[in-house]
Amino acid sequence: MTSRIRRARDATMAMLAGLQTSLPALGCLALVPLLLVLVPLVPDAMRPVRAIAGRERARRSEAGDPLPRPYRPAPESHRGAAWSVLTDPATWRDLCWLVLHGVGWTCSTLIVVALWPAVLVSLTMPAYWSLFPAGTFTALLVPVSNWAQALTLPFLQASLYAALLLFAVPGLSLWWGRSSRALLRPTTGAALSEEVLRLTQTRAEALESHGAELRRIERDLHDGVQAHLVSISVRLGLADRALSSDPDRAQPLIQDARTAIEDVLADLRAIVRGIYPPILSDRGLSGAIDALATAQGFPVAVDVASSLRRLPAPLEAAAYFVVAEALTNATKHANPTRATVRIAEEPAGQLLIVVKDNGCGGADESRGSGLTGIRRRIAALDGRLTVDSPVGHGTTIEARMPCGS
Amino acid sequence: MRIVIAEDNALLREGLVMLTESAGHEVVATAVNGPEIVPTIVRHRPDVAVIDVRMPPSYSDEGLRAAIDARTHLPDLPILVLSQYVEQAFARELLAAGAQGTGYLLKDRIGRVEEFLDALERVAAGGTALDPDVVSQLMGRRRGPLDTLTPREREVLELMAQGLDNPAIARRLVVTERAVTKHTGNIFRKLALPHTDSGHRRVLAVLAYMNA
Repeated sequence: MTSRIRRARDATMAMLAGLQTSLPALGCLALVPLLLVLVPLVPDAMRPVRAIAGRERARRSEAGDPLPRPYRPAPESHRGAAWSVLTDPATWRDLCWLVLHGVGWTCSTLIVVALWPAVLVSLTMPAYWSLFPAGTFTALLVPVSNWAQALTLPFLQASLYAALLLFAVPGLSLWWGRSSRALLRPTTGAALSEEVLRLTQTRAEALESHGAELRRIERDLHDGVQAHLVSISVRLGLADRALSSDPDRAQPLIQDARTAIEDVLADLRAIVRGIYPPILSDRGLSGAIDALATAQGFPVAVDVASSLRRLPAPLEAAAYFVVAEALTNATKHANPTRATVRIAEEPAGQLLIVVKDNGCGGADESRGSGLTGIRRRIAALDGRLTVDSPVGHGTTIEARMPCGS
Repeated sequence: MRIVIAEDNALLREGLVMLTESAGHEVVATAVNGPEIVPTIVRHRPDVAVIDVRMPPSYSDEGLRAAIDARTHLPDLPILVLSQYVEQAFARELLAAGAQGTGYLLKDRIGRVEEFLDALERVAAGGTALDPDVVSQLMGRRRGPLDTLTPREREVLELMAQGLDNPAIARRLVVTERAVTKHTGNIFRKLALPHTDSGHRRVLAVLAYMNA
C-alpha cells in the first residue's frame, strides 16, 4: 500500500515537472498558427517550438537512450530554409506534440494535482455539509441534501479519487511520457538520413587523410632515402676515381659512404614504422604497448584488457600511434614521474585508449603537429580524440574508435 | 667552369658541390628555394646552372619554371635540370625553348660520376643531355618505323637523343667512329630525317620525330 502511495506521489511530481514544458507549449500554441500562415516566417516561428521540444527531449533522455534532434539541416537561403522546415516531418510531429502536450498534459496535471486535496475534501464532507444550505455540495454528481447521502456518497467519491490516484495516475504519467517520447523521437527515415550524412562526411575526411598519408610517405622516401642513396653513390663514384690517382682521398669518402648507409637504414626503419610498426604483427597490440612502456624514462603502468580480441590492422596501428605520440609528448614537454596506459573495449563497440601522465600539463595542440596528426588519423577511422591538460595537473589523452563487434 | 647550384635538399646539394669541385669546377653560388634561383643566376652569370625541378615553397615545378624564366634573362645560359622522377612533359617544355645548352637528368644519375660530369660539360658547351629514361619513354611511344631499325641502330638512336656526339657514341658502344657514322646514316635514311651533324640540331630532329 505505501509503495502505491509513493508511486502515485512520484507520478504527480513528474506531471508537475512536465508543466515546465507544457505551459510554454500552451503559450506557443496560441501564437504559432498565426505565424505559420506567413510562410517566410516559418523557420523563426518554429524556433521557440523547437526550443521547447528540445527542453522536453533533454528531460526525457536517459543515459544510454538519448533522444537526438530529428531536424533536417537547413539550407542557407531563407526561402530554402522555410521550405525545408515546412516539409520536414519532424516539424509536424513537433506541432502534434505541442497540441497534445500543451493542452493535454496541462489539463491532466491540473486534474491529477486537484485529486489529492479532493480526497481530503470528500472525506471531511460529512463534517461540514450541514453548515451550508442543502444541495451546495455534490458527491458523485448527486447533490448532498440529507445525512444518508452525506455519510455514504462522499466516502464513495473519496474512494474513487483515491483509486484513481493510486491505480490510474502512475499509468497515466507513464503514458504521457511515452507518447511524448514517441512524437519527439526522430523517425527511422530521419535517423537514417542523418547517419548517411555523417558517414559521407567522415568518408570524405578519411579519403583526405589517406591522401595526406600517401603524400607524406612519398615525400619521406624521395627526400630522405633517395637523397641519401644518391649522396652515397656520389661519394663512392668519387672514391673510385681517386683510387688510382690519389688513394688517400678515397678512404674518407668510403667511410662517409658507409656512415651514410647506416643513416639510410635508420631512415627506412622510421618510415616503415610510420606506416605499420612491425612489432604490432609480431607481438600484437598489448605486446607492442608493453614495449613502448618499457622504452620510456619513467614507469608506465599498462592495462590492456585481456579480453581484447585481434582488431583490424589500421585500428591497432592508430591505437599504437596514439600511445606512442602521447608518451613522446610527455617525455618532451611534461616531465612526468609516472604514466598509465589503458586500452579496453567499451560496451557500445568502441575501442577506448587512455594515456594519463602526472607531468606539468598545459599541452598545446597548436604548437606541434604530433597531436593534430593523430587526431586526423583517429578521425579517419570514425573516432574521436580528447585532450585534457590543465596546467600543473598532468595530461590525459583519450581516444575512442568504433571497432565493431 | 663557374657553376650555380639550385637544390633544396642539403645532402644532395653537398654531394653536387663535392662532385663538381672534385672535377676542378667552382660553385660560385647556391639557391635553396624557387624565388632565389633567377636572381642568383642573374647576379653571378655562371657558365652553367644546375637546377632541381622540385623546390620550395610549392614543391611542384618551381625549379622548372625558374629555368625557363632564367632563359628570358640570359638567353644562351646552359641549364642542367635535375628531377626526382622522369616526366616527358617536363622534358618537352624545357626543350620547347631550344635544345641548345639544355639538359634533363634524373637525380639518380648524379651517382654516376663520370656520366654526370660528361653531361654537365656537354651542356655547358652548348650541347644536349637527356636522361636515358626520358629517351626510352619517348622511344616507347613511337611504333611503326622505329621497328625497322636494327637493335644496334636503336641503341645509336637513343644515344643520339641523349645528346651524345659521334665520338662519344663510339666510346660508349666500343666501336669505331666510322661504324657510328654508318649507323646514323642508316637511321636518318630509314626514318626519313634530314641529315644533320651538329649536336643540338640533331637531337632536336630526333626528338621532334619521336614526339610527333
